[in-house]
Amino acid sequence: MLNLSKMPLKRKLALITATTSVVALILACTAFFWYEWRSYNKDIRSYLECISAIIAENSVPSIKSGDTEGLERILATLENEPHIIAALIRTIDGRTLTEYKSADIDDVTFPASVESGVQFTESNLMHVSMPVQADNETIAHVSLLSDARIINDQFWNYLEITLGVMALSFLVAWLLSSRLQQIITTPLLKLAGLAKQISEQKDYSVRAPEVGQDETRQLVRAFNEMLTQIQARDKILRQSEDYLKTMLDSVRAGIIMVDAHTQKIITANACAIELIDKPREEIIGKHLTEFISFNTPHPAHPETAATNHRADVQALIKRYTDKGVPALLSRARIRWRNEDYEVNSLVEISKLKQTEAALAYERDLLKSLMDNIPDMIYFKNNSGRFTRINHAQANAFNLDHPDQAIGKTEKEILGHEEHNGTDEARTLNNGIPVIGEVRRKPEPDGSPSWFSVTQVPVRNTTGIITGLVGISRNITDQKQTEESLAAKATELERSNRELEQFAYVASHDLQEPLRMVASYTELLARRYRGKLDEDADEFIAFAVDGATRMQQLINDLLTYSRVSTSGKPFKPTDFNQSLEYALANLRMTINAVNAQINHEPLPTLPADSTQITQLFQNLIANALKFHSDDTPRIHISAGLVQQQQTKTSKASREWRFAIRDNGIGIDPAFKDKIFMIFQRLHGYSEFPGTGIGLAVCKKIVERHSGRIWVESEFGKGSSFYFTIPEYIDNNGSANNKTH
Amino acid sequence: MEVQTIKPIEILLVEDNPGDARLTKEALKEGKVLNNLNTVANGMDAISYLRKQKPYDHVTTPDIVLLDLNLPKKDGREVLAEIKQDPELRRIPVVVLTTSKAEQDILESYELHANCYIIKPVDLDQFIAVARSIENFWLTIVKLPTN
Repeated sequence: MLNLSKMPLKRKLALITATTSVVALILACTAFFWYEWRSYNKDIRSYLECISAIIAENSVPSIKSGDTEGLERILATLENEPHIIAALIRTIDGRTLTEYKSADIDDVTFPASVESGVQFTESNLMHVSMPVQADNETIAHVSLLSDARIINDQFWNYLEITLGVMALSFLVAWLLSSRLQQIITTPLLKLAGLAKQISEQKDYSVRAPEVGQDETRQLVRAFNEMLTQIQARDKILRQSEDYLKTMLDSVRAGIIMVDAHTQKIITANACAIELIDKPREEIIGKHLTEFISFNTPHPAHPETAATNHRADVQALIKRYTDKGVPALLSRARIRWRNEDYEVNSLVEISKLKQTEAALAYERDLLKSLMDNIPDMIYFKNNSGRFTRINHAQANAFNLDHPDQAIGKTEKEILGHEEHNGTDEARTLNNGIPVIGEVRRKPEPDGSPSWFSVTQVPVRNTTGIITGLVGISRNITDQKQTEESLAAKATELERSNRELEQFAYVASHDLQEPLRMVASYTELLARRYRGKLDEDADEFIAFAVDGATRMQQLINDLLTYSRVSTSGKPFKPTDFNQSLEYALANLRMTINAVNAQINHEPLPTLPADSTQITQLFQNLIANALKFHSDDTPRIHISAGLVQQQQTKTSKASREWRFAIRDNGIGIDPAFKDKIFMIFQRLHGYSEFPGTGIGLAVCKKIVERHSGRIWVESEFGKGSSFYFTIPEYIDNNGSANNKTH
Repeated sequence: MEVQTIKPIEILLVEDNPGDARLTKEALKEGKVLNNLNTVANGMDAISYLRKQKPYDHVTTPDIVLLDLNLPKKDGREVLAEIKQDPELRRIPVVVLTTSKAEQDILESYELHANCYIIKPVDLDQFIAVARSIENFWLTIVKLPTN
């Protein structure tokens, strides 16, 4: 039997269509047959009656005349009717007048009845009896026997044709419906395909196209609406799933959920996967103990463990790459929808162990520092009692072991209090530290000893002062050295100042008598030239010249000493301006030698502007003075450079100035000598001057904490360089100098 | 030329250095103006001279004072202050003639109402030139009050 429910829709449809059409055909054929049968019966009866009536009519004369031959001829015409197998004309008393038999019939028996109409005989033959009437009087009966089987044969043929047609129609209907059912099934199949695709791909954003106007469209619409709802639900579901996943993955602890009974891993968060260090696929579904070993027996026992039972155990996360990661595993048992689960959270504790090691290292470091440092180190709690001291401090306290000081105050140890009690209170109460304070403590023999004390508060993590730590160092030797150095420096400064004063006073006081000498020798020269002898004139001339040069020397010496004695405090000085003043002062000389002087932009720096003008003036005058045969060209430039680093000064920046000329140049052998006072490289008659100019320059530059030097090649011009620090304090020492 | 020139200009030179005194005298000697140069060597004497106290009770009040600043007994600044505080004497022009180039001295002198401040030139020629200038300006160009 066909199972209709399993049959594909399109076949079902085809079958229904075909069956319907065949049933309709059967019904139509049956009705048709029935009608045909009846009308055929009727027809054949009337036909038989008609034939028998005709025979009866025609046979009247022959019967009247007793013409048997005529009767035979009449009956012989029945040969044209093959289904009439026999005929009989008999008299009303039953005497046979004539008889007809078709050729293939051997023997027939006519029923005795002559009742008009059609009757069936016993041998299923149709018997028609018709009275022959003459003058309204029955004179004979005509009987015909018709073989109905012939009609039946015809009928069977008819049935066969009908069945054939029916079979054909079923086939056609089947084929046609097979084709036509696509109109209905195609959209449905498409819909089904889409549903399958959606369920496989979980993509709820796709929609079925709405085609046609029939119920399919309604179905598609309903389907799409359903999809929309599913999509919305799915979104919410996904979102909450995402939140949960994100949350779980962001937890810095590994979370592994296992089936409580099988201990198989159901899910694990990112941290857990990271800790196990294997792909997720290799973890999910595996037994928990494949990845984690427990230092203590795993306490989870499904039967005994109560719901929400918790346990913390030390575990080791197994790894192939290393010895494993020590971890702390915290296990919670949950029951959800009648299933038991275990949520294991893993926290890596290797860092903790590392920290422990690091702490131990730090502790050892501190201990070795405290034990070996010659400085005295002590810790006190906030009631001023020692919590820890080092060996150096113990020695200072005359204790055998540092531990002897623990819990005691300074007074309890020394028998008297040190004078730093207020500092200690300030440090403990207000957190004010003591940094590098120098304290004097008398030695037992009464000689002073010095200590540098640093004492800072110790705070706990909340910032509350819990005590203090102090470091003190005996700096007596250092202090003594410092003091003697300071005394020497003061002495040096005083002697320097005196020397300068001496130079100034000496030169100043020398001027008066010298002025007398110069004036009166000059007066002599004026009044008595030519009045005495030639020798006298010459002697007087030498005396005048000597006095004049002496005056110049004294003036120069005064100028030189004034650099330090009459120096002004440093103010921001525009070096361009100072240079302009210097050039203005030299205008006549510049014009006289037709010199070309140019300069780059110069900075503004803290300096004594008068001295800077003098510095430029001396250097340019020098360049103008020692010019070669070429047109004198002087170029002044400045640039910022990194200062040389020395032992006593940190690197800082300074400006380097250069005054370049194309003059006669200087033999490098003399490049240092030229800056010394009254040093001259040329004869007085060749280049007059006392040799003070560059010495003054050197003194000015040095007062500004700079350096001056010359680079030159004889005959090829010279470059004078000097530096001025970028920052300088007002006393004339650069900021980088330490005192 | 007027008769005035017959009467010599009275100059008081306050100078402790005889060399300088002589030099000033020599310089003025070479000038055109007939002058009578009187020299005192210290501040005390200068004040006595001006106030005509003994032994200066017969001197003529000077028309101009040439005053050195560094003087024994009484300093030139004190002399200047006293002259300018004395209603009888303050009309007499005081020319400070000194070797000091100190800004402090210059400022102080003018604050004490010095009529001018001149630094003694080191060079003889310049010294003579300065002396001549003083003569030219104060004794010729400037009209001084008559006694």
